[in-house]
Amino acid sequence: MSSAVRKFAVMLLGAVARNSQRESQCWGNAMLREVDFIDSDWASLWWALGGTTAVLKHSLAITARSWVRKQIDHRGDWTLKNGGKKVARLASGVAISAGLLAVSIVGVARLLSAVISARTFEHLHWLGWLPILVIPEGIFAIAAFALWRKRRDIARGIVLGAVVLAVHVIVHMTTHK
Amino acid sequence: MVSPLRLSPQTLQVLDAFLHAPKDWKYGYDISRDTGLKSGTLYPILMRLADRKLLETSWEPTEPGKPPRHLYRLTVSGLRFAREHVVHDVTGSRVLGLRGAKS
Repeated sequence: MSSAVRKFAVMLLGAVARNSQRESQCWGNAMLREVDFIDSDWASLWWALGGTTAVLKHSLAITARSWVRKQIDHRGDWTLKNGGKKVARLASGVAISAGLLAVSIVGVARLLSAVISARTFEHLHWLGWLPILVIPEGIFAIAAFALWRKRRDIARGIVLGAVVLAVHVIVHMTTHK
Repeated sequence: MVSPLRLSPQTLQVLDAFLHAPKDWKYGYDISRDTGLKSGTLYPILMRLADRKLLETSWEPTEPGKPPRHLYRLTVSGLRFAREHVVHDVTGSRVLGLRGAKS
């Protein structure tokens, strides 16, 4: 006849085996079956306690592994989807800035040449910076500011275009003097 | 992905216990008595060995109404692994593990 200690050992290990992860249940049941072959009641209790720890550890490890895998999968998905969109928006911002620069160079240069005579233009050669740098950078700043709240990635692309243009002008000035 | 097996002295003890009669199936409680390891130490080792396909497990067929017992035996690769890592001295008793595990 089973003693209370042995009954408790069986009950404990049985409950843990039933409620653990499916992969751990087999091991829990394996340890549970061995209890019947342990002579001493107290030894069976120690066996059950050790088995409980082993099953819980195994079960926890499986849970933790699957949780980490799920997180990585989710994050991977998130990065791919949103990362692609972000890059596309940023690229469109850069394209907008490049378009604005082209319009500014062609449009303002034509306007200036129509309004100011060639002789005057020679005296005011700093006016050449207007369509190339001053006007585009001004438009970039206004556009980036206007889009920053609602279209931040596009605004960032415009800022990037502005920075590239400014750097290009600085490099040009320092190397062509 | 399964991480490399940690070759603790207890793992070597378990591998050594299987090497005594490599083809025989063993019960968990018998391995525990042979090695002196408690269930809380022994079973995680068995689980790790089984995860790495070094140990095969089976449920013993029994008469109806009697719950089956779980049996363990080293696989062919498990046997090779155990022979590579468990070293015996001239008296036949295990002395140490040879080198780090790669499985």
